[in-house]
Amino acid sequence: MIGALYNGLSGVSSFSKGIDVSANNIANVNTVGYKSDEMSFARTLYSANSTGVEKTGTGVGPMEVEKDFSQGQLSQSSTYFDFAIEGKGFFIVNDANNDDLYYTRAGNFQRSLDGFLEDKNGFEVLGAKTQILDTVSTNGDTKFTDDYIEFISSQTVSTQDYTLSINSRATDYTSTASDIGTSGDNYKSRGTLLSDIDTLTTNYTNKLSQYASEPNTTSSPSTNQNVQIVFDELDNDLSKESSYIQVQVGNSAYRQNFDTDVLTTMNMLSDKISNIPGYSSSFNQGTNTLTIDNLIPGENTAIYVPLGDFTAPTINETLAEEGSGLGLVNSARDALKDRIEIAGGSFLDIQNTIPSPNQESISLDNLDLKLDSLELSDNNDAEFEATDDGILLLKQLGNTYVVGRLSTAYFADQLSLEVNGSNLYSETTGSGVAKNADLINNISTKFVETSNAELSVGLTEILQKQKAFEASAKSITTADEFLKTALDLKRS
Amino acid sequence: MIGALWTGISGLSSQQTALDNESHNIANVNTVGYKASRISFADQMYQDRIGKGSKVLDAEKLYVQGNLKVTGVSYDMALSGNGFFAVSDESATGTSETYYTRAGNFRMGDNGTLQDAAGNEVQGWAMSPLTEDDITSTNSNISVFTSDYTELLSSKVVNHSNYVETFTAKATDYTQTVKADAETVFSGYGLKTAASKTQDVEALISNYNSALSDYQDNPDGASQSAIAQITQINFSGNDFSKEGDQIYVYIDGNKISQNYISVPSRTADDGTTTLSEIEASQIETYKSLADKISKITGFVAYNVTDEGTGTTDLFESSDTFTKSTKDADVLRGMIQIQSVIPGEEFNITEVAEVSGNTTTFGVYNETSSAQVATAGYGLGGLESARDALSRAISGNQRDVYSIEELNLNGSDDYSINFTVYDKDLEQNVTFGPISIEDASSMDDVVSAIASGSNAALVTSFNKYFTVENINGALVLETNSSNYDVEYSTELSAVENNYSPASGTTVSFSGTNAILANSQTSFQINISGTSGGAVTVPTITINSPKDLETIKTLVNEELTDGGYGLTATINDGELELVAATGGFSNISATITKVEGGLEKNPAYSGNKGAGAEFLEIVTTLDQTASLDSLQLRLDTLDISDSAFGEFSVDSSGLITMTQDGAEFAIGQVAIALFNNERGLNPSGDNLLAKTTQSGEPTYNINNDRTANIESQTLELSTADLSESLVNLMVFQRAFEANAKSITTSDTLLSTLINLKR
Repeated sequence: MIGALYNGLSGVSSFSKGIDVSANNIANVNTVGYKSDEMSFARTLYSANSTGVEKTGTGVGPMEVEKDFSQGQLSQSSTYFDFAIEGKGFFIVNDANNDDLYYTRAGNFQRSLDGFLEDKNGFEVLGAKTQILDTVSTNGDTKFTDDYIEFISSQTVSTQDYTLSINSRATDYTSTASDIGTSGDNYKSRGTLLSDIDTLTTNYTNKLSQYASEPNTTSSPSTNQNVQIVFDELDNDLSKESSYIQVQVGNSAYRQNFDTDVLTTMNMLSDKISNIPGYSSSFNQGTNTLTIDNLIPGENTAIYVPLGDFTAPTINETLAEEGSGLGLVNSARDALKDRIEIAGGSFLDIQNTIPSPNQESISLDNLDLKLDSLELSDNNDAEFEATDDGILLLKQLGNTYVVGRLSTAYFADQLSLEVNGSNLYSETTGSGVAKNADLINNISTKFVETSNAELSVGLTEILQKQKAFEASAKSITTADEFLKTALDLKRS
Repeated sequence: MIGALWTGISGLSSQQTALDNESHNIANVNTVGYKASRISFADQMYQDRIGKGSKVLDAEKLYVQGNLKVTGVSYDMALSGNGFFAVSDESATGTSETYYTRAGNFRMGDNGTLQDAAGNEVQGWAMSPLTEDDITSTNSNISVFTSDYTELLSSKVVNHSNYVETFTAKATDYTQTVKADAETVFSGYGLKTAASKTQDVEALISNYNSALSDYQDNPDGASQSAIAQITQINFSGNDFSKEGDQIYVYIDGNKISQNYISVPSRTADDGTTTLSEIEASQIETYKSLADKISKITGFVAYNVTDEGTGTTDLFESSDTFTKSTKDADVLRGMIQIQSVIPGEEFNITEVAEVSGNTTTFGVYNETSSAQVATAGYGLGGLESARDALSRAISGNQRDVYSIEELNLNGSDDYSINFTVYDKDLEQNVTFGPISIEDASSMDDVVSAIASGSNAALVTSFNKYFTVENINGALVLETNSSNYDVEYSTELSAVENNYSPASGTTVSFSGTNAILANSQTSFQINISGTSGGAVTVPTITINSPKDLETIKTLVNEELTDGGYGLTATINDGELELVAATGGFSNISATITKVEGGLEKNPAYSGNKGAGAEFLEIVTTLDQTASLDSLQLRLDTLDISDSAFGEFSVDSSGLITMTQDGAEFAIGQVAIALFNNERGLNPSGDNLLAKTTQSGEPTYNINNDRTANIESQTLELSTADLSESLVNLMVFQRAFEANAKSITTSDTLLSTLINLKR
């Protein structure tokens, strides 16, 4: 009989805790990434009678308060700093004061005063940071400065190993460009030199797109087409006003009539060919050789000498081979760099990467959003954006740089995580160690995950528990009355 | 038990804060540039895995782009992208604080600066104050555009890497001031008609515009001054001697020809040589051809001689050429053709003289003594074009004294004083008198002025002027570097006595010859014997226009007095002749009264169109520190009229357009913050920087920041539908939390009731 009193007491205690839990859920219906608490009530103990057949319960106790880690709804927001995880896993944040790692579903992040990605508690958000893969520079500059006023290209490529951003800019080569070379020796007028640069810029951009569409091909460089035309009988062929030499490049014929002497005539022909954008030509009088270089790596053009009123020359041709993968891109880049430098400009191309999500361990770097300390640009004024797989981008003057990727972690038993408040969880022995969850969830950018606590559920629960509480209280008063009745027996 | 009570209270408090915040958003749904803020909730600490409610982590403004609304109001600006306008609230005490705002509903304040609606001055890169170097004016008194400058020549904005320049050039109405050169004086010496001067100006305006466009396209590229082409041609004169003959030259494929002009034989300008009819006619024809070329737009031609070592009449690299209208020089048949437009090439393909069926080819100068055209580019090219235009519009002042004003008998003396504006001293300087003594020819006058005995005066003169004998007239002209200054000359006749030998006839000839013109006055004293000594009272003759007038006036006096004396004119000289048996032993003195001579008004004028040119270059230094932006053109010393049409481009560059001329007068600066979330909203659409936000950064030309949309405002990002839904959500959450509390309360009372 006394047992019933205690049974009722345990009920009162349990259900009041249950009301605490529901009240907490209600208080957090608008908390981003909040996971509602659930209480499972179970009979606390059973006392067996001597036969071992019938058992009597001794009341209820709060067995467990557990988080319900079911997916919360995604709510669209307006800023690129908001992220939501669809599926399993947590964002990882670090309290820099004592280097404690926490896990959270609240992806409403922000940029810290010193330019890192942080959560609303001011804890650093962790992920994979960027690394410079390759820098090609004319003058030793390793990052873009205000001098690099010409935008050349910007391309992001995702390979199986990493996400790569390739950005190039150049200084104002149009103001430094002038006529180059001498007649007969790779002469270029300023205008053609600038056209060369335009042609090679387009070529580079095309090669970048090609690489982006086939990112996993093996890398091999491109080579250039070189044609050497040996005119053995020039002194006879070029002797009078009406004599000429003609060379066909692609669809156009280039013809030079005799002028002054053989050297002058051949130099003029060489200059004509050099003046085609994308080609360069020289003439060597010692060997009577007209050399034609196709400046675009991997591109072949039909170059031949049609029959004419002169002795057919000997043609030695080295054909270009088109490379593949990153080698293809790098060959196009180097050809462009070469031309920009000839025009007196400085070229800078930076390739930087972030590892792809298929890593064994979790990347736990803090995420710097400053182009300067990332060694990409000396100016930090850039626009922040992020892609749907949690890749962080900075955009500046037409260039897009990948600067990091959010890491996510999951646990063998997430129910055993310690709940720290402030939307944070931390690892316990029970939860197991954090594992890379990058491949098992999606990160939605410009979304936040809303609380999965619902008012209707919370209110219903609080009502139920109130009734259960009152019932338990009733069992106490009833037991009390029973005891009183029992006590009164003696008197009567 | 008490736990749920407090959990409920924490929820109430969180939701209350959220309600406050959302109400604020709703209140600002129509506030220009307002950024809606949102609340970030977090759960409280946990005890035994039981949570203790919720809390508000952060109320943050979300700096997302608001919708843009075109208003059509010139001063309205909206930011499309990242960044903030900077405004400064300068108080009466002079202290100021800079705030940041997205609200671009600006206006011009009463002090002329760009201000926000609350009167805070918008910050940016202001136009640098104009200095002397920025102004090219042909009128030293005027350095701002006034209503007299009616002709807009060009106005362009040039964007450099870190500064912006505006070039604006205007002129006074040159079509009104333009005056043809006097043919009598300037034939064969760059004679320009009014129409060809106007056309030259127009050609040079278009040249200036294209030089400016080139500079605009490549502002920081290489620079080279343009040089105008000068080529000489030469006719032999051997086969060209009768009516119907012709000389011609092909310039750029156009044939310019002159038929033989027949004039009679005459004495040459040296006073001694006699020119045959053919020689005189050839001289006339050569000058006419030069004049014809000068009439073509963009060209001017002079008769010249070749000098320097080597053979005359043959073009050599050592030649130098001198402009000359002297008969002996013109007769050589050499004409110099100059392009008025710097850098523009012309081609001479054929020079010849035709007589009947015979064509004799002349030559043109292909040696290095000819000046080839050099095309200009960059700033140098622009300056060359501007200089040529300014010269064509204003042009050197030329004072001309013709032989009619000067008595060059070898004994008359003159003095000349000059008042001229000195550009370096910025004031008028006066010097003189330079004396011209005993001049017997115009060349004597020229050498007395340009290389007289007083070295100091000669130096002063040559600093400002040149003097030439052109076709027998004295032409005083400012030198090339002073083409735009004004001056005045005072040429005075020095008192002179003419006393020829006495007798019965007195002839004023030779060094006693007097020249009557309407500017000189004379006193005539006559004495002699006519039955005793007789003295005729002094006869004063003021400004006689010719000798005939003197004669008439003298005769009137002599007849009235019955002196038996007559004045006559014999072979262009004045003579006093006594009647037979009358007056004898005449002694006469004519005194020329000292007095000023006026320049010849018909011949004097300007080499160019005689108007005023004014170019103002404004500079906006984008590396300068930020300042308020003055919009009034008069305060900026650009124009005497304050207002223009305001416009702003996507980089925030503000231009004012007045009468078609565009001036870049400032650029709105857009501030970027490393952490804009840290800005402290301080009401009135303003945000203040904090240690959290860090210091603002600015970019040259705002190239990493938002674009500015003109005549547009950014609307509030508060969204009614979202805010109202949020209100309901927070209200329900609030009520539910209240329910937690009442439930807890009920539980408590149940517990209390356990013990009856």
